Amino acid sequence: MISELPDDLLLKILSSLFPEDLIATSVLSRRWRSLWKLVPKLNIGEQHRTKYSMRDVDMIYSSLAFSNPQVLRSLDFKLISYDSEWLEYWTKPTVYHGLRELRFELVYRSLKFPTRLYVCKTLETLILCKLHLVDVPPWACFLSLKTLHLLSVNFSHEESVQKLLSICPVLEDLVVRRSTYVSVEVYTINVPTLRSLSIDYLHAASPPAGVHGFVINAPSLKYLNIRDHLVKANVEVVCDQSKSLLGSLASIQHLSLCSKNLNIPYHADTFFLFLEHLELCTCSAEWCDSLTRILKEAPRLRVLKLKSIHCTSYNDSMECWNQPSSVPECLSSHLQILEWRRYKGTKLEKQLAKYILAKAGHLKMATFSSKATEEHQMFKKLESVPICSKSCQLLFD
Amino acid sequence: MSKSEKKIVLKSLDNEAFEVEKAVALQSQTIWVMCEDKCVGNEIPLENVTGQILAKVIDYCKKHAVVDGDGDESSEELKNWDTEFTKNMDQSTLFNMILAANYLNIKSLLNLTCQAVADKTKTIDEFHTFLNIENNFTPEEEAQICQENLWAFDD
Repeated sequence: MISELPDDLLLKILSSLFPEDLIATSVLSRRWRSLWKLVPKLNIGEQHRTKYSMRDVDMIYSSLAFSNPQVLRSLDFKLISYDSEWLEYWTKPTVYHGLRELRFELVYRSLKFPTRLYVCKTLETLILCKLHLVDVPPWACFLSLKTLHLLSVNFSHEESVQKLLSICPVLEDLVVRRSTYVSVEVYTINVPTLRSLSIDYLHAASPPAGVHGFVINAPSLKYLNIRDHLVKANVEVVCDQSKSLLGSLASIQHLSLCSKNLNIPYHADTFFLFLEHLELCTCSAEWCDSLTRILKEAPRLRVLKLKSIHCTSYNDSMECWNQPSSVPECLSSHLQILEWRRYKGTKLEKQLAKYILAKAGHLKMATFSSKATEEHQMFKKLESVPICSKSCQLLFD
Repeated sequence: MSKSEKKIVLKSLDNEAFEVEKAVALQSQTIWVMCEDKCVGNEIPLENVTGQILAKVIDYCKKHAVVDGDGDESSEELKNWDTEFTKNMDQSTLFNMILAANYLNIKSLLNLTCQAVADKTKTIDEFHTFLNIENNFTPEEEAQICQENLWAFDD
């Protein structure tokens, strides 16, 4: 039955074979005789370094090229040792014909690309695995590279990472997997075109020592996924399209959030099951709605701090706060500390303050502070609101 | 968000219904597009997949959704799970899984199942038997092909 699959799916199966097995399929039946020549991908392993002479490589490529030079799009190298001349021979015709995808896996050795590859105009996907990448030359340019995976890839310096990223003018998708092999401490990811970024620390046996982390400047980012043993995260969201930015931080305990331009700072189905400590900046007009949502989705929240770091330019005096339909679990059973800096006492803020004080049954301390001149009057109003928790201390400073 | 909104019902060719988490089902690009277009309700009919195969596809998606979500499981464990998953599939199941993965557009499952076929067919004889391919060459033709590719065959 599998032999009844359409050609494109059979070619998918053939794409997993080594060249010798691939060529051998030509004796299966008439249908298979030339099918292998249409294969889009070649897998080259360590054993082929001795198995194939240069002439054999020529034979393979001439057979493939005979059917259609544009067919072969992808090369996958899984090697133990590295031989530049040999590699040059394998990649030369494919680069010439328009290589789209390249994967290199070495066993923690240095890789220097064959010269032509550095200026390959058609390469769209580059996956590097378990190797040390020699610094790219300044004239290099991956003009069409959209996807780059650095899986356990080491560099000589922190700047080497930046150099590599700087020669990818249209990069959209970046995956970085760190391991104990990687000595680069701070990855600077400064890619204006980047849309998706995945950072994976889980493969490191233990968290790397010393200062380590990522500096991310990616204004087009839409998707950020961080897999780490995160306990404390400080996130300042200054990009305005990253819907799922916080969705990837679902296991954090401590979150400091300033979402300057966001309507929805995180994805609808996110739950912050472990979040205990939240600092929210009140500088955007939508901060109240953000808070309502996080209250609903962080059942174990204990400490809530509201503050304004940036100056506010909106006027919320006319706005009305949408009270949640049911009392969030964190208010009824966990919230102990509320701290509200730069309380302005607007209609909206008053509504919210009243609601929290009325519903937070375990509140121990509520502190309000203000910069406004009429603070005395403002606080007076708050003093008279009903407070749910019997043991709550209300402070104004 | 209420619980029912996060679930979705997938209905197979033979009318078997499967209720799954949306996050599980959305690994299929095909279902994702259907949901995005809002052209379907909470129940999605999948006319090309039988219940028996769909159950396996859902198993796969469940496993991969959990791992992507909490990150507790290492990719090594996931790899082992994948290997076990396809290990005992016969060729007819693999055939249907490939078609289903292709139709549902689940790239990783398509790669996995195609790789599984390749792994089960290491020699030409295995290819002949596992894929059930009848050799329809004349002896002359066969000799000619072997001659053409002689360099690839002498080990």
